[in-house]
This record gives sequence, C-alpha cells and structure tokens, in this order.
Amino acid sequence: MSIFTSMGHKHLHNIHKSKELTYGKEVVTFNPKEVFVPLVDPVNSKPIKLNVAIGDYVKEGTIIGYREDNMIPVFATVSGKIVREENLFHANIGRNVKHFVIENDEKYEKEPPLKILNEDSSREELLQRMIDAAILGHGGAGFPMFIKYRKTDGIDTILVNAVECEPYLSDDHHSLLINKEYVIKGMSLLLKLSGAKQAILCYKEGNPDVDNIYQDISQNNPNLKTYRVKNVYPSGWERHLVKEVLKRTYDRLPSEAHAIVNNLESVVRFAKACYDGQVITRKIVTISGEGINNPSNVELPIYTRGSDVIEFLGGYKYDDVSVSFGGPMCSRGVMDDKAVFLSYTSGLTILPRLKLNTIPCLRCGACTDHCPSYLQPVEIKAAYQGKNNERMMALKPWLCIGCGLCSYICPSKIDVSDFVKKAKMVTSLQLKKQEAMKGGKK
Amino acid sequence: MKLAINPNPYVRSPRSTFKIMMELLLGLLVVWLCSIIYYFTKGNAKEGLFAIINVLISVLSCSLVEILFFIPKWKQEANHDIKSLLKKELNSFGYITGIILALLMPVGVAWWQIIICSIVAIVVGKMLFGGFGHNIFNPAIVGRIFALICFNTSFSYGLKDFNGSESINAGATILTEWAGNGWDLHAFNTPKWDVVLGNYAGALGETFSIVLVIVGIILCIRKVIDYRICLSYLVMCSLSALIVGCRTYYPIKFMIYQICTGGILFGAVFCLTDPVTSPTTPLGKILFGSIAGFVTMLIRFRGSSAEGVAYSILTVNMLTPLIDNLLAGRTTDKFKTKAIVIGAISLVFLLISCSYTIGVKQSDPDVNLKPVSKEVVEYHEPSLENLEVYYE
Repeated sequence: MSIFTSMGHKHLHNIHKSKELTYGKEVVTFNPKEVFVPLVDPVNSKPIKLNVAIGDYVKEGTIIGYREDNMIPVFATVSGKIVREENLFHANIGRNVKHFVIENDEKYEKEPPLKILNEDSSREELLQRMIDAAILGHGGAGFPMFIKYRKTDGIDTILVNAVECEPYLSDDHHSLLINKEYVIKGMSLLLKLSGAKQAILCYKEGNPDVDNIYQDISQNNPNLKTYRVKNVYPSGWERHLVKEVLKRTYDRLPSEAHAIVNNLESVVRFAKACYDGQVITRKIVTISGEGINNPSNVELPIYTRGSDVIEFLGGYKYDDVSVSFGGPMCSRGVMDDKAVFLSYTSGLTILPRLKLNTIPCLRCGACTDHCPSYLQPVEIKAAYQGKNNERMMALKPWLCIGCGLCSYICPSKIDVSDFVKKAKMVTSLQLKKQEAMKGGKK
Repeated sequence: MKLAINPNPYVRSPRSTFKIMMELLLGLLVVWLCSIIYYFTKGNAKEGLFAIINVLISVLSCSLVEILFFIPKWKQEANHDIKSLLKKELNSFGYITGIILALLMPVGVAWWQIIICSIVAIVVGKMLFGGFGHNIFNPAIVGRIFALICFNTSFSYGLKDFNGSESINAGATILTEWAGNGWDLHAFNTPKWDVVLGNYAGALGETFSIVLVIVGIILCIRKVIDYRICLSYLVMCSLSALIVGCRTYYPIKFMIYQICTGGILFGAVFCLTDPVTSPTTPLGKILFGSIAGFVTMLIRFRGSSAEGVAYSILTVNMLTPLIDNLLAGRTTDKFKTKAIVIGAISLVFLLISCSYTIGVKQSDPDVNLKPVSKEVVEYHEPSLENLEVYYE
C-alpha cells in the first residue's frame, strides 16, 4: 500500500543514541524544598474546586481539590504547610496560572491508604477507584482513565502502550523492568473490568531485557500477551498501535475497533491503587537530552518545578537550549523552565538550540510520504501561506495529531508542522461554524 | 539563560536538501564521465574535449546568471561578503540545471548556443518565477526546448577532428534515422548490443543506457528521486512501445530499442523526477509519470519530430498544479475511486497508443525466415522460434 499512499511512519535516526543516555542508569531521588500544585484543570483550563486553604497543613495524599466536571481529585505530594499562592507557567496550558506552594517539612507523613481491592472486587468499586486515585491517561493528555471503561460493550482487546516511540524518554522502559508484578496485576484487573478476551503488552522491539522479563507473562493468565512493535515513530500513537497490533482501523475512538488503549503508567498506577491502596504522589521521570549535564531518570514528588531538578542535576550544558516537557518531537518548548511536572508528564528533554538553514520548499513530498494521518503537509503549508481557505478545508488539516514528523523529515528544514498547526486552528474554527450552520438549518 | 521557543520538533533528520542535491550531482557526474569516455574512445579527440567544455560552459553561465539575480537583494544585506553570495548560489542549485542542460545537448552545439540556452533556462525557466522551489517548468528542459526551436537544424551530432577527418557520429541520431525509416527494425545500422548499451551518438547524457539505469536505481534507493515517477513513466512508455511493436513481429525487441534510444531514460531519471515540478502525492506521482509516458510516445509516433521527451516533460509540468488540486485531501480518502480513475486513464492511453501502429513499417517475417541456418536462429528473439514452428 505504501506505493500508493503514505508510509505513515519513520525510523528516527537518533533513537538508539538518545535512549542510551539514560538506559541502565541508576534512578536518582530528588526532594525539592517546595512543591507547586496548579489550581487548574489542564484539560479544560477551568479552576479546580478547593478543599484546603492557605495556611493549612497537608500530608502526602491529602486532597487539595477536585476537578470540576469529573470529580478527579488533586493530591498534595509532600507533607507540609501551604504557605502562599504563586503565579507560575503551566506547560500544558501555555500561560501563567495560580499554584499553591507547599513547603516540604521532610517528614513525608502519609494519609491512611484507601481500602484494598483485588480481582474479586465489583466493577463499580474498581471504576470508583480510578476516580478516587486520580488515574489519568498518562501518555501526556491527562484525560481521566475511567471514561474509557464506563461503557465496555464489544471490547475484546486491551492494549497496554509501553512503546515510548519518542526519543530520549526512558521512564516506561524503566517501569517495565521494575514493575512486572504490577503490570501483570493491572492487566488482569483491566481484563476483568472490561470483559475483554485478551490484554496485550506492546513494547518496542530490540529490548532483550524486557523480552527476558516478560516471556512468562501468560503463565498464570493465558489471556495476557506481549507484542513487539517496530522501532518507528509514531508507533506509540493509539491509531498506529491498533493498526499494527490488531490490523484494524477506526474513525474516531479505538472502541470502534473493539479495543481500549492504555498507557503503561496508568496500568501500573491502577494496580498500585487497588492492591496497595496507594495514591500516587511520586513519579519517575526522564530528564535527558544533550543540553543537560547529567541526564538521568529521577524519582521526585509530582508538582516539582523543572528548574529545581535541572539545578539538582548540574544545570544546563549550553547557554541556549530548548526545554520541553515530554519528548522532543511533539511537545512544544516552554518559555519558562519554572513550570511543574504534572502527574502525567513523562520527562523533560533539554536540547541545544537548533540552528536551521531553512531554504525554500523543494516539494519533494517527503512529508506527505510519512504523515501518519495521511495528510499532505506540503500542500497545507502552501494553502496557509497563500491564504487559500477553500483549499485548506479540502486538505483537512484538523486531522493532524501534531507528531512533528513532517518537520523532522523536511530536507529544507522548514517548520512544516508549525504551519499545519496554524492551518488546523483556522480550519477547526471554520469547521465548527459550518457544523453550527448545518445544525441551525435542521 | 535563554530558552529557545522555536517550534517543535527539536530533533531533525540529518538529511538536507543540499545533501540530496549533491547525491544527484554525483549521479550526473557519473553519466557525464561515461559520455566523456565514449567520445574519447568512439569519437575523436575534439569531440571528447567538447564533451568536457560544453558542460563547464553551461554550468558556469547558469551559475553566473543566477548570481546576477541575487546581487540586488544581497547588496541590501547587512554584511554582504562574497561568501554569503556564494552560499546563496550553492543553495539555489543553478549548477545542477546547468549540467543537466549540457547533458541534454549533443556534442556539436556551439558555445554561444549553450550560453543563450542557459540564460533562457535560468531567467525564463527559474528566476522569473521566484527562484528555486517556485518554478513551474523544469528549467533545463525550458533551455533545451528553446534550443530545439531555435538552433536544432544547425546541430550536428559529431564534430570533425582537428585534422579534418569525419567523425562516425556525424549525421542525425539513430532515433531520427529510425523514425525516418518508418520504424523499420531492419533499417538499423547500429549493432544490437550498441543500441541496448547506448553506445551511439546522441545528446551527451543519452549514451550508456545501462549506466543511466544503474544510476537511476541507486538514486531511487537513496530516495533522491521518486521511484513512482520513473517506474510509471517507463512502464507507460514500454507498454505503448510493446503494443506498437506487435506490428513488427518483434514486440520485445522493438520495445527495448524504443526505450534505449532518445532521451527516455535520461528524462526519466534526471528531468521528470525534479521534485519542484512534480506532484507531491504518491498517486499524483503515478498519474504524472503515466501522462508523461503517453505524451512522449504520442509525439514520437505522431509528432513531426521524434524527440518527444522534452515536450512531454514540459506538458506534464504544466499539469502538476491540476493533479495536486484533484488529489487534495488525505491520501487514503476515496482511495479506491482515485486508483480506479487513474487506472482507467492509463488504460485509455494504452488504447490510444494502438492507433500508432498505422504508419509503422511491418517487418516482413519471411525475409528473416528464409535461411534456417544456425547463426540466424541465434540472432532472433526466442518468440520467433514459436513462429518458425508455426510456419513449418
């Protein structure tokens, strides 16, 4: 098919080299003096409902507030006193929002654990635990996980996404190595919850250490399987994963292909929340890249500021760097490194600033050839620059997933994905207008 | 501390346009080297010398004209040193146009003709549209067409040696000769393997078909040029030739001769695949190649001159925006409809090419069949053996 349509993926040139920066390194523990809890729901940018006030003493796991629309709690991650409110940059929302500052008293007092659940617990209890323990989609969107399990009719497969196709990040790989017990427990729980026939752990090929550990995964439960996906980008994207593992395609949601895709981190946390009654307040993140002195995996309380960790690891290597929360391909760099790690941030990538020699577009079509959404970035760019609205609508840029592959591949070093993003913004507005007009006519 | 806020991704492929163009240049240099060797060994010393000089003149004049165009903007820049001007030229790739243009010309072209053609190629074909990346037509082909229109009658395909002796390459190309004979396979003077290897006079770049094929395959694998365009073009050309060749009783021989003569291979590898002037979608590239193949064969069999490659490339360059417009959207949307329509268009082209058979001289099978000696049997194609059985 790739003769007639796009290939839809690409092996990144530096993927091995970038991952080796942190593979096999010992995890460092870091405890900041202060943590900064954002008081905003990152999905819809609305303020959260507060449970505590400035001056209160909180423990690890104390509920600071709830997200307004779905009652997902926000936890304090260290014990101490809430000293003040501060405006800080938020990496996901992209502007300054209010944060509570908790002063770390280094006692790490914990709230009592939740009731312990296991495979015999009822479906309602398990679903409620997903809300109570604030289990999110930890791939980077922060969408609540329970939504995927509210309706599970017709689901036959659970895919656990541990692919980590972004360069530099290695926290999922690390988690696979140390959390085998929880991965298997979590997969069994999700099977029970959804009534699916099989759960498949998907990770990248070329990881013999993971192969060794998970070769006996179906020993106790024959429904658990593993699958090694190709080492290409973006093989960790839901749609790509469903297509590669199950050979199925879908229009909008994976449930149309009878599958649910979960991030590895979510599965591990769900297992920990059920079997240990733990609320997760600490996290292992990858701090990596050529722009930092000691790239490593760091265990830290959630809501630590990025700048504190970077200082702890020895600071920046260069004067001019780009810092992004997440991988270097799809996360946009932040203007301010004082933004905090959220519960679903998988890492921090620090790279020296790119000096690109941009020349005019060659129209080689490499972006069209590799777009995982089968779009035509080169044409979208031309239509956006020519302000040709009609043509932009015909090219459907709203289907872009922002993987950044078109910019990566461009031999002329044009920021293609940036143009597509802009065109996406323009056309999404128009699309909404059109739909509203249609609705009005009915 | 400065934080860069340029857009993501922060990892870029090491492959750049400059590297791609250098690989293309390397391919062109190989072809050039082969033609120099050919003219020194098969032709005479003067021809060999001119094979070198022509290309150098063309490259120099193309680059100089482009630099002239850069000067006004360059003067306005804050630090305008010679280095930045040369860098601009290096990233505008006028020299590649120059080398392709020279390779499209025969060795007997005069130096002033090359200069005029390269000025036309760069000014009309490229810089008036806005320079590299904005041109609609392949600049080298524009220059070549200009030469076809203005100077074609004064071209000679060979040169007299310094001592005045006539070259074996003098006269028209074997393609025009062949066309003049009504495509009669028996009228060929050139030995079979010389035709297939490209061991005959023609434009500089047309010599050595085998080298062109090998360079083309390597460039396709290196993704310097797009294999879809080359393949669909060559398949269209060969199928057309195969259909026409059925009239001569040697369809496969006819097809191979058709592909190996004239500029089809050089055009398929170096001109048609110019990314700036070809569509960007995979299906569009296939459609582009097959239209080009159709027009080439149409001009070859029904046009006034047999040199259809240059005109066909210009024609499809013109269609590129249309093709891109028709195939706008996701490449997987309505995939079946698009594929069926493109397949149907190609089929219509092939049907039309059936009509070319009228006018092609029917090679009389009896002439070849009379002596059933060993040598003759060896000489014929395997398909002929079946015919022999039939006749016996």
